[in-house]
Amino acid sequence: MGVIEVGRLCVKVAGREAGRKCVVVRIIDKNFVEITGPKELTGVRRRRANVKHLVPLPVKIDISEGADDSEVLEALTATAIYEELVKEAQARGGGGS
Amino acid sequence: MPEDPFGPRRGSKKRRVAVRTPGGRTVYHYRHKIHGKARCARCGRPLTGTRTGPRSVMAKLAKSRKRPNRPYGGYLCSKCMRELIVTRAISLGWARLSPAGGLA
Repeated sequence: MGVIEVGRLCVKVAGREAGRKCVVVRIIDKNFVEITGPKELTGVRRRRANVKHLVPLPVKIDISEGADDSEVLEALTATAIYEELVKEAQARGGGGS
Repeated sequence: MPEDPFGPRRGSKKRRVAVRTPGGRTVYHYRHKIHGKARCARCGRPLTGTRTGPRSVMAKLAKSRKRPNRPYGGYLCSKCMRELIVTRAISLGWARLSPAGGLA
């Protein structure tokens, strides 16, 4: 699996959330991971996803396995990528959903 | 001479179908043209998850039954949409945020 790991920022490339960024919060098995946007930031709700539907980005945030959405959001706020994610959310018309 | 009740451009609007009548004559009936299948704007392959049909049928269908519910659904095929998203993520400079550089 390699690059798909807890805290890894990814782009979803399939389904209605295609093109949106998300964070891996738990590895379920070799095919599935649990991800979250979090929803209020990128619009990706907390869900199970096939790793084939994710493209890893070279950004990783520091979270523990199974971290809840508020912890993920907090970890993202501290990084340089946060502003870009906010900018993307605004370009979509504000907010996650 | 009376006007054609079907309008002057009937032949170009509709398709002609040859029908043999009981009297042995061959006459032409005019029917709706058949719509082509929706195709990907980038690669030209037929799109999956889309419906085709006369307007009267399409208007009755729900939007969710006419195109996939994803970005570029009903315009690009899933493969092209995927490539577009990945190349855009690179070109928008997401790669430069990495200490190591490059897409993983």
